[in-house]
Amino acid sequence: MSLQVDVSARRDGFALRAAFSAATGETVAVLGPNGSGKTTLVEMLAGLIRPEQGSVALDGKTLDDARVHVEVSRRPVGVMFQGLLLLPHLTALDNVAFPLRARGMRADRARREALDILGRVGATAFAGAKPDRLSGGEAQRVALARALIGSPLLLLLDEPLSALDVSSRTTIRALLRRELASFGGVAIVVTHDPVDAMTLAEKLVLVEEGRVTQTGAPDEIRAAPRTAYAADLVGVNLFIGRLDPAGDGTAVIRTGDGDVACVPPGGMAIPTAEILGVLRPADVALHKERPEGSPRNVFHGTVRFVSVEGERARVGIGSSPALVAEVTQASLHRLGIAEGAGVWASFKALEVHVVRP
Amino acid sequence: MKRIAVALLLVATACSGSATTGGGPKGEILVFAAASLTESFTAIGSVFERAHPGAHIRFNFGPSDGLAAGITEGGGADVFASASADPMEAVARSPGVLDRALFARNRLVVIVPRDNPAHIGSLSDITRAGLKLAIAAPGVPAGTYTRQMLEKAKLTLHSAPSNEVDDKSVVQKVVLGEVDAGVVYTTDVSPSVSSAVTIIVIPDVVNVLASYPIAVVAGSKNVSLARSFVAYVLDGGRAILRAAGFLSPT
Amino acid sequence: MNREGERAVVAPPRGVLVLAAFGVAFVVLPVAGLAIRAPWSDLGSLSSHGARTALGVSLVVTGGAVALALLFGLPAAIVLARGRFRGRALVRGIVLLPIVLPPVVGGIGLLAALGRRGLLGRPLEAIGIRLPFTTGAAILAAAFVATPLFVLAVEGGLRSIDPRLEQAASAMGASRWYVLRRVTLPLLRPQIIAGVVIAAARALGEFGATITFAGNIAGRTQTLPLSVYQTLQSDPGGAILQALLLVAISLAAMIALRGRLLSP
Repeated sequence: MSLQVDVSARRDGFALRAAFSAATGETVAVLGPNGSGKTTLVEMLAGLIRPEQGSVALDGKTLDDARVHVEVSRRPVGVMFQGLLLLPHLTALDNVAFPLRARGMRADRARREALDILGRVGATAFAGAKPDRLSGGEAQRVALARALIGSPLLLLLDEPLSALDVSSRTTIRALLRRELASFGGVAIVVTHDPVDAMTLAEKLVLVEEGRVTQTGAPDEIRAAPRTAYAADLVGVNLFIGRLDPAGDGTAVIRTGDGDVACVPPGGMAIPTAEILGVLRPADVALHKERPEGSPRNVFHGTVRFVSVEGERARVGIGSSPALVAEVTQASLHRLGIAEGAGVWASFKALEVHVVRP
Repeated sequence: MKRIAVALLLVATACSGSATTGGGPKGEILVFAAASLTESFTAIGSVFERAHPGAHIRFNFGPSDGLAAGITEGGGADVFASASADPMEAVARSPGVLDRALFARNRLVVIVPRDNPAHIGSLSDITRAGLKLAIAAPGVPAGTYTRQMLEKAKLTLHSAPSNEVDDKSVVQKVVLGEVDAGVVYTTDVSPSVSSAVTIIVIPDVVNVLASYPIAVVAGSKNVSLARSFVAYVLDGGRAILRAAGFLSPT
Repeated sequence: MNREGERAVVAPPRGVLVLAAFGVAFVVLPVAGLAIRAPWSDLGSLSSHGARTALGVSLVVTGGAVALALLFGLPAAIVLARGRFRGRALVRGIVLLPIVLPPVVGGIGLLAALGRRGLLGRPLEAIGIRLPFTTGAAILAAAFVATPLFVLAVEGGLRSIDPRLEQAASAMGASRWYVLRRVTLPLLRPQIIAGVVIAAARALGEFGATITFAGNIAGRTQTLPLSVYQTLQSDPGGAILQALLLVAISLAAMIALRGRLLSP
């Protein structure tokens, strides 16, 4: 099962031109600033708009082309909408059961399956509540359950975390990661938040002003961003890996591509299978020679790109793990930093912000 | 559909030749009658029904001109009793009438609220300015007659009257005390009305005689019952009409 | 004075309160007048054959009119609110016309259309169906004036439903009928109920179109309003009691529906 998209679509005067593919089991993040055409893409994949030209095929079957347009209600698609769009007159349970009942399943059986999925997403406690009584995080779980039910071949998540507050976001992100990892079909996550994109997806499709500007794995893009937007995206250092406490209050994140020392908050001092470490580029210091002194994290690598913005510059380094640093123009010159040059990067363990995924 | 069923029943009965209890025409007819005939025709209807079991008379009372328009446009009437000739003429043109005959005559009278707030003493008093008057509207028989009477009496109204939809509406207004005077038929002053109004007689010499024609409407689905009813009005009904204050047709 | 913890509401300006008081009084006064002039000792006249028959006819006519309003008004409202076709504004104007038309004009129109010489009336006569001056005619006359009010009440509700909810339902596999049955109509329930109440009230009080198209035939087309009109000629007290009966029915309906009118 795979998704092949090659279309131009138009919606209210806005034109989108997109071509990309996704393999079975893959999660693709469509990442772009607001207004770039991401929602148009979602609506087109869902079948709510017809592409002007081009085709969409899922699992070898054509969903859209010059002659064919598979109706919205006949597409094997599960959608988690921006704004959730839970039906306000139904309970959470009936909302989740809706896709099954709409396709003809009997009410009791549909409800049982819905209860199952609600259990998986941790929403059993409020299955009987109506949407207006649910918190943001609870409603998000219900919407996810509703998108997953009925084993769709294509999962569309439109800004799944945007409306949540910080703490809910962390929890729901973890839930999504888990579900997406075990989801058997193709999942498309549409978002404007690079952290969401990079934590949920294996592949990124960058969309700007209705055009796809770059596709690839997060690391590939980080290594060689093609546009200012792409470069900006990688303006966050993300370390994902196993947390190994060292016993002295510090810990190491084993990313698989390198180890990063960090100071986990109290309560996280036990080995954890998966943890997120976030580091601001401004906290990465660059040196010509190997630095002495306190920083626990010292890495060496070749400069992959330099992107100057006014007084400051972003430097992408191909270390293990890859890093992005932000320095002043003056430092740039002083250190002789240019593409291809070798450089040392360091940062303090304390500056790595540890987050449970 | 119901009337077709009833008509079939009648035909079947007639064909079968079996004697039915009470004999005579059966079924239902709809009688369109002038508003001034409300009490008298309702009474005639009850008596007729008692004398002819199985017959049912329904009434639609209203201003004769409105009823005529209804018959012409709508259909569905079996008998038409009008308060003047013109509406009957209209129905005779379309859809047509049978067994047309005059069955009663009426006269006009002035009525005022019991306490007579405007102190009306005679017919000519209604020509005073500043009065609240009610008469029937021009196209309605009662209205036409009133204007004919005023012309005959060489009187001009100096207060703009309220033009009511029929004579009964004029009665209402006087009974409720909303106007100072109204011109209606003598038959309109029924026992229940007379306790609320005072009558001002119109001298015979200037009064008009309203002639009431009745006829079976062409296209009736129960001609025999319709004819039977009309015949009764002209015969047995006369006593009831006289008791109500109507004058005989000749 | 607010209860503990209740957020204070900005009270309307005094002038508004005064005008509102007049507005309420304006509506209450005629009813109060009726209640005062009513011959309460003669309450038994309401159980007279004539009054009971008129009540029965009124209930049948109102019920029939509301049924027609639902049957034709709901689809009309849906098409008007959702349809995209040229001339939609014109069609909407026509559908809502009876609201501004004098009822008698409506009655004459019905005669012109359905009378024996009418557009539809002539072919109907040919197959033995005669509408004017029947109970069916009274139902049609009441439906004629009530349906546009129903459409108005429902159309507004339809516009306020987020169309994305229906799109979401489609994306979840629902056919158009299913979306209508399980999403649109349930969300529309408050407006449908309001529409039914308004339509029933209008149908109950309908006079001009009824008397013109259906006549004033006791037991067949004489509804309570027509009966009040006729009774006024001979028995004003009885007429007032019948009028109060009409008020009582309307009040009872409003009270029975007070909660449902607003909340989904």
